[in-house]
Amino acid sequence: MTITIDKLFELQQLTGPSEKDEDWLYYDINKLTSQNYKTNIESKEKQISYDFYIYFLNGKLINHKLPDNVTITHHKISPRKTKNNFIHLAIANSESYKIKFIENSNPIHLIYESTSETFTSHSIEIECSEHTSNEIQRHFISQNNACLTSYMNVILNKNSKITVCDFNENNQGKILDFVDGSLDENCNFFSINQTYLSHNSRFQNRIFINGENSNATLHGLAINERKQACYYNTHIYHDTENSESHQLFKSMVKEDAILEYNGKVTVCPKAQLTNSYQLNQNILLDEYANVYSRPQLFIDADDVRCTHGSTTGDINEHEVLYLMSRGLDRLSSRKIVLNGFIEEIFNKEEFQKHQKNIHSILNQIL
Amino acid sequence: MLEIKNLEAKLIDEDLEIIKGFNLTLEKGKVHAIMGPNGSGKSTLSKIIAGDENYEVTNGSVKLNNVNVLDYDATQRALEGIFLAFQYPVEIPGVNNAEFLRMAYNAKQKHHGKNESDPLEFNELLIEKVNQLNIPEEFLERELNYGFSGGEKKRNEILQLAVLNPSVAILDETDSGLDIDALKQVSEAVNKLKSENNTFLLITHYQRLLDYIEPDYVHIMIDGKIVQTGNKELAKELDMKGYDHLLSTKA
Amino acid sequence: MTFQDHDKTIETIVDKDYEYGFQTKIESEKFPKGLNEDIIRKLSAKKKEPDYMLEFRLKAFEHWKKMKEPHWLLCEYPELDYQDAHYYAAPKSLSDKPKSLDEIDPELKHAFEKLGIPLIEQKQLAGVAVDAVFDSVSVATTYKEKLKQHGVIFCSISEAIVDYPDLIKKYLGSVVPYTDNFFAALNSAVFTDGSFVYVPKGVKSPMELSTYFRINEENTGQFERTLIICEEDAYVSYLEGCTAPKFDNNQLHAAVVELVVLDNAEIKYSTVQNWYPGDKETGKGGIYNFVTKRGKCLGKKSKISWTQIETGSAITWKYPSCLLIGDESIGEFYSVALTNHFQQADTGSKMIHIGKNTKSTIISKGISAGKSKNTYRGLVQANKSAKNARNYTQCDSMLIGDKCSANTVPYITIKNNKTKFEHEASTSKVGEEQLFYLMSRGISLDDALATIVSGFCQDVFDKLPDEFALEANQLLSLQLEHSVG
Repeated sequence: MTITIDKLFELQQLTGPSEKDEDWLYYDINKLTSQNYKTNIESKEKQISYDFYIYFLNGKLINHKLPDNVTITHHKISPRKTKNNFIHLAIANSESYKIKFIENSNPIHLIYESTSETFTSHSIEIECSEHTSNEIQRHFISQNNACLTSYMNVILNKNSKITVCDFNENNQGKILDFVDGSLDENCNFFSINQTYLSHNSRFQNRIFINGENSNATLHGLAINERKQACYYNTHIYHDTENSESHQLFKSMVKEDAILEYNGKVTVCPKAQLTNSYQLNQNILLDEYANVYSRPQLFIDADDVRCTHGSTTGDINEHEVLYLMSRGLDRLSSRKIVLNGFIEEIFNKEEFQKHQKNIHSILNQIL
Repeated sequence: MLEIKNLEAKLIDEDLEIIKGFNLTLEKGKVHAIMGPNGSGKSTLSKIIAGDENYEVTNGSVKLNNVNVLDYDATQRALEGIFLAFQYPVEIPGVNNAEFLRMAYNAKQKHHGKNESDPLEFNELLIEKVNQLNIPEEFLERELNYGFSGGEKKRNEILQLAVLNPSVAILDETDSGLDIDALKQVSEAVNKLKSENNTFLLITHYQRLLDYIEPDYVHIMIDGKIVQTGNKELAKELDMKGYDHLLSTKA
Repeated sequence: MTFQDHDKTIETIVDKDYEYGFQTKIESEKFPKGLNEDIIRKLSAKKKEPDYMLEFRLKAFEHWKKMKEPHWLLCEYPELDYQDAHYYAAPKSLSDKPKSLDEIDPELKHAFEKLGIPLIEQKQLAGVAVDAVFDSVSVATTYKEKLKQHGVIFCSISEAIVDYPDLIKKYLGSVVPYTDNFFAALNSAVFTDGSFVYVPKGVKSPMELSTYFRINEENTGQFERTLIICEEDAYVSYLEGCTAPKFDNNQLHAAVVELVVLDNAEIKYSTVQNWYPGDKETGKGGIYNFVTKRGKCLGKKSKISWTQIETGSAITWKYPSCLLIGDESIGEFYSVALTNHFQQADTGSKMIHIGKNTKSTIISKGISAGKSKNTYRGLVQANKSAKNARNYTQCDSMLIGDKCSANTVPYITIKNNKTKFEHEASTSKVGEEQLFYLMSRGISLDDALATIVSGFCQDVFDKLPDEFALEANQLLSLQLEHSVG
């Protein structure tokens, strides 16, 4: 038995996004929703080597191991208001869970695995209690022709902090990930996405900063080739005074790869003294890659500092030449320059230790 | 000339008083200096006199030639002859320095019922002033304070002072951040500009400036008011002893 | 009519235009309200157009009927009733003297006094030729003969349709086809007049050309059409200005401007837009300025430079664009958009890089005050063929007061690696410190604000022809009056 996403939407009395939707402008939505996916899926246990983890296979929670101060329960999630019906579909189509961090704990690994030709949904709510600082690492495994969708709703209570690290490497299937974050006072939301040589991924982040002195930092790095596509879609809402957001997204693409950065920052009328930074930088490694960059600002308050920028171009040949003139060969020179280009993504304390070694990836694409 | 009586003031929206019963009369043809430790309210005082609306005057008066100027906005005060050389002059990109000077000059001319100056005529005046003050002519073509070094900004303030020819000139820490050569240049300029018809108020932290511009009076300001008044010897004494003894006697 | 007579006509018409908030009492001939095939046939007949033009119009109309009014911009406007407008209005006679204007709103009178210029004084400058468009028709074109001696054709588009059919057939709709968008289709069906410029090979136009647009009648849409062609090595600088009286209902202004430049040729197109922005207190009335402006850099090393100062209109919705087809062609867009009170603007540019070594620059300065909404929206695209394309975009927004909004919505699309696109944007408010500093030098609050804003816009003003830089500055100060304090 097979089913299409269109049909699933229909069953839930929902409609998928249209091609005219600005947030899906460069995404081949029809191809996605009309494809046939298997309905009868087996699942089996797997040995996981992380200390603490939650393992999903084909949308089902298979096994998990959590420290005492982290609880997991079944939970009906009501998402933030959204027009994005993938979120509703993900909730309706999956067992919803809630993970609560009661105090500081060790990092928790969430592993989402989907086997070939499956359509899977996941929905999780994460709540961080006051005065806690925690970390989640998400590992996406999406096999050939699979479509893995996930919704994660993160609630940060006063004075709490969370770091979310996403790993998306060598996936052959599609990934559609939606994260909402709500921040109370003095909260920090850090997230970093690393996408390497993966077939087709779309990551959406909506961050609602509702409390003063809070900060959201979103970083992303995508390195893709051939027809691989990566779509970053972010929206940060500054709803109150005195908050900050930082976005930094970089990419290297070649051979018909597609990179989209569609970033929005909204500063509400009462959100005076907002600081917001947004930067997207892309390097095209050959003449066939495509980049769509849209750093957008919507500002309704006057006493704010918002800057955004976008640069796209070739690898900096001056830098390469300089290194070559010091006796390095072209390949190593290019690697050094590219490593320098991405360094900024990881130079925050929260992200440093999560930097994947991209040596072999660079070897493959250069 | 300028008479400040029982002045009390605070930051708007805050309760903390910064100026607490301040009295001072600036005499025509004289140079006054106010010295005091950090946080004594010296800079606040200068901004209040100039009309900064971030401060609220809760009591007292500031009279210029017997007219209370506290009801005036900053523009009116400037037109009446008050000039503040800012400690940190702001940068205003895109605004040509010379054109700005002409605009300010003409606003004043107009206020006094005099003819406004056309660009050519005004340019002559400017050239004369920059030469007189040893300021490079290229200052005129730059954007208002934009990209100026700290020292250049201070010299630009002095150029404005020379062009606008105020009757009350307040120099707020004009010496801070200047090296010895720049300090000399600025001081020379001020010495050239002082006359029988104006009065200068130098606000400074150090005695150093007063070696070059000789004050007629030195006032010591602590905690929002004048605690001692003397001549330049007082400044020298202060330089040796510091403010601590004054603070402790007060306590 | 002689050359001097033309000037006089211009003066009388334009003289009345000074009181730009008010309707000139002029007896006019109008078509009945409504839009249908008959109206278009009647319009074409009225203008004694050749058949090819009628065909063009009817095809466009057929297409338009199938289209839907777009509403994707970040501004709000109600659906328009296209049957509730006149599609042709013209003064019965040019000798008709407008009556007294004693009912003038003192506010506007004051504005006018302060504006103190513009047209007459500048048009008296020998270097500027003017085409004056009043409602649906071109009233007069000055210096036509003198320009002709140099081979430059400058006339109303209506005349060109009759006198230069080959050029019109070749180029009209070649840059903005009627299928392009809803308002371009509408314009193609019902455009009434506009300017036509043709600069032949190797000629640098000896003077600035300028068109002054005036909407006078109530319930009349203005649909003008401008076509400028510069042959190889030619150059022209063209300028448009516009005003409209104050009516309580909104009026639609849906113009189409097409530019074509061949090898080594250059067009510099400047706009000082000052349509009636609507009531300051209620937001009622004002012009909907929905305009399609596009240039084609066809030739090698050709160049198009758009400069716009947008201070009027209830809604401004336009993206002057460049198709950079010729190798090494250059597109530039310099814009100041100021919105105050209830105004809304969604404006920017599109730079489509197709040829090799093409370059584009976008400098946009948006100033929002009052309860207004100001959006920069721009597309910069490098196609696969556009090797070594370069773009630099800078969008700065300034907010005055806390009830307005400023949005930046760039679209950057890159399809080859030998491209370098840079986009920078920043948002700031008018610093209280800056205001205080200027005021402490004796400058009034309004002047201080105007000085800061004009400094903020300096990069763009520098691109305007000298005669108009001053006017632009004054327009800004007027629009901003009493915005702070």
